[in-house]
Order: sequence, then structure tokens, then C-alpha cells
Amino acid sequence: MDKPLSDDLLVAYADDRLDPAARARVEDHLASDPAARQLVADLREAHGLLADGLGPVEDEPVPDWLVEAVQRIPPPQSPASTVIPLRPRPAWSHWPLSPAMAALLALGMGLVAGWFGNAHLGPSAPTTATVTATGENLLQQALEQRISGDPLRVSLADVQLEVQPLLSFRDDQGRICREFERRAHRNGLLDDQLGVACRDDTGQWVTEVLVSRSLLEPAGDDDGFYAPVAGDQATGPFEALSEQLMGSTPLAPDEEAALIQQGWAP
Amino acid sequence: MQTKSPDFREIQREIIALLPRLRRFALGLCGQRDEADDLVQSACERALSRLDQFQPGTRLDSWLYRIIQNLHMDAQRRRRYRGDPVDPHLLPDPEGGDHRREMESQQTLDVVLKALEQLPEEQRTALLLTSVEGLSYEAAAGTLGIRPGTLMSRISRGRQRLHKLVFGKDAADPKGTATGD
Repeated sequence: MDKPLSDDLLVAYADDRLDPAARARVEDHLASDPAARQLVADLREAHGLLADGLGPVEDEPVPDWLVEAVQRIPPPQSPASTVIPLRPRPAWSHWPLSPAMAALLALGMGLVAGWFGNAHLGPSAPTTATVTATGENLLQQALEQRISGDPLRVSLADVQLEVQPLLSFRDDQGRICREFERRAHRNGLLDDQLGVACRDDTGQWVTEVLVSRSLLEPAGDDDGFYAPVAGDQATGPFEALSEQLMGSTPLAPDEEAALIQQGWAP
Repeated sequence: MQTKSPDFREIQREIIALLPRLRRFALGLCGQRDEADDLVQSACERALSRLDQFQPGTRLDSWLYRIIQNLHMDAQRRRRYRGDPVDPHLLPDPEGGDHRREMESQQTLDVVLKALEQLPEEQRTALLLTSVEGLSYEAAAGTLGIRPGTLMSRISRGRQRLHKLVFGKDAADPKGTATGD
């Protein structure tokens, strides 16, 4: 007998959510595996029990007091939403990436790959390892769940971390990739990076490009930190690098939102 | 008057339309009707006061399921810390009380709720979102913020456990010959 089917596959089969080819393979296997057949029957029976028991609850009338309580909830006192406009896309052709610039960016990536060095954090702060792990979780969560322009923030003692996806695109292998900006603040010190990460088939976002804004901007000019503008000279080289990954134009906001909703499934 | 979020009233109406399903999900989570309705009310208040956290274009129901689940877990945690199992007025009437109906579906519901109560929270939630609320695996995984593979394993383990609790045999019996011993 061939190797046993995974429970995952049997659940999807029991729920009739496999494509015809996978379904046929499972059925082939089931023909010679009574234990798996029993498991499928049990999985279906459990599903039916849940659906039969709880399904009809939806048809029960909602108590008036609950409807009225929800109707009485007032709007928030102040506009809670802080809308961060999407960065308009600059014209790519303005930013050819010279070999010298590519080398500079590659060097920068090595230098700023972490959030902060110990020298910045000092002895009483969360350890660099903690900040790095939290930063990585934040990055994964923001890229997986947030639409472009919607930042995700977390504080660790007096360190504030923020990740904001900037736009999404497919690379030429069909992977979903997202440009992002991530910032770490502590006591007025700011580390501000731009990056591109692509989603692998296990759902992990793998960082392909990471550069520090300070390497992209002329010394002493921090005007661009919070308000990158279209065609901004300082970010041009980064965008040229990102463009090299890009297989097509960036995803439209509604397309991106739909993909996020589906967990990035095509 | 102050500026209002432009979509507030519309989302409020959408939430009211979702109430029957939100109540069902909450009932499956906590097993008590009164508590479920309180949970739904709190979740609606939280959602409508934090509309800025809702991502337009995503599913409103998923967002609310998630809020309900978070509130439920918070409540469980608080009870554990206080050593206070349930609010006394939420304890079920041992004789059945007002809600008792001599209907087969009610009996099935009671059996299901009793079994769900014995599952770990993470399995219970996975089962409710997929088998009862009808979310796709992807949408359910997104609602819970977990990977699809993790969701599938919770569904598989949860259903096998539920089956064993209700029918008294081991769904995962390797020989497929279990009869209830």
C-alpha cells in the first residue's frame, strides 16, 4: 500500500473541496485503506453534526434588546482613521540602476540588515535579539494582513517598531512581492528602511531587498523621511531595484485587498 | 457636530444584518445563550468604536468573528485569574428552564454544545468557522491569523475529537474497526 494520506487531505476530501485530479488520487487510495475510509466517514459525520446542531440558530429571531443596543452605539467622537495615501508610482524609466549603484545598495543591505545595533539600544533596553524577533513577526504580520498604506506598529519598552506595506506586485516567477517601509524609533533615534519581500509557497515573506533610507539620501536632508513623493530622487535607486523584481505593474488596491482576504491564494 | 467616519452608519447596518450569524458563532464558542448575546453586543461596540482598524475590502464578518473570539478568550482568562468559573446568572438551569424545547434539533444543539465545550478553544473556533459559518479554509485561516496548514490540522483533530465525544468511538482507530470499547 502507498503511504497514508495526510489528515489535511482527507478533511479536504471529506468536505468535497479537492479538485477532480486530487479527488481521484484520494479515492484510489481509499479503495485499499478501510481505516482512512472510516476516518473520512467520521469527519463527515462530525461536520454534519455541527451543521445540523448549530446551523438553525441563525434562523432564530435576534432579541430586540440586542438590535437596539447595536443601533444605539454612537459614532466615535473624533475621526479615528488616519489615512495614509498610497505612494504614487514614479516612472520607472527615470531610474535605471547602474552597476555602481547596485553595488552600493548591496553593501547597504549588509550594513542595515538588523533593526538596531546594541550600541544604539544600550544595556537596559530590550535585547537586540528580542527587537529583531519582534520586528520580524511584525513584518510578517503586516505583509500578510495589511493593505498598502496601512501601517502596523508595536512598542517594546521605549522602542517603537512600525511596518507599512507600500505596494504589491507579482514578480516574473509569479510570486507576490510587496514593497515596505519599516521604522524603528528610540529616544529620537530613527532607523528607517525600505525593502521588498516576496511570499514563498509556505506563506513566509522572504526579504529580497532591504536598504536604509539614510544611505539613499543626501547627508543632512531628512525632509523625505515621512513624505516620500513620486519620483523622489532619494528613493529612486530603491525603486529601480524593486523594479528589477517586478514582473508586471503593481496590483490595483482592490486586487490587493481581495488577495489579502483570500490569504494571498491566487 | 463632530466629523463622523463616513461609513459608520452603513457598517452599523451591515453589522445588524450579521447579528444572527454572530450570535450563532458566539453560542458555539461559549455554549450559553445569554453570555453569547453579551459577547456579541461587546464585539459590536468594540468594532464600531474602532472602525479605523477595519480594512475596507475585507470581510466584515471575519473581522467580527475575530473580535468575538478575542473577547471570549479575554473573558476566559479573567475568569481563570479570579478563580470564578462563570457568572452565576449565566449558569444553565439544570432542569432546562425557559430555553428547553422538545425538538430534535434542540437536542442535537445541546449535544454539539456540550461536546464543543470540551474541545480546546483553537479547535472549537476552527470547527465553528468552517463547518458552521461556512468560511473557506483560506478565509477561516485569515480570520484566525494562522496558516492554512495549521487550520487544517485543527479541523482534523477537532472533528475527530468531537466525533469521539459524541459517538464514543475513536475516529482515528488505525484498524477502522472500533466499536465503542
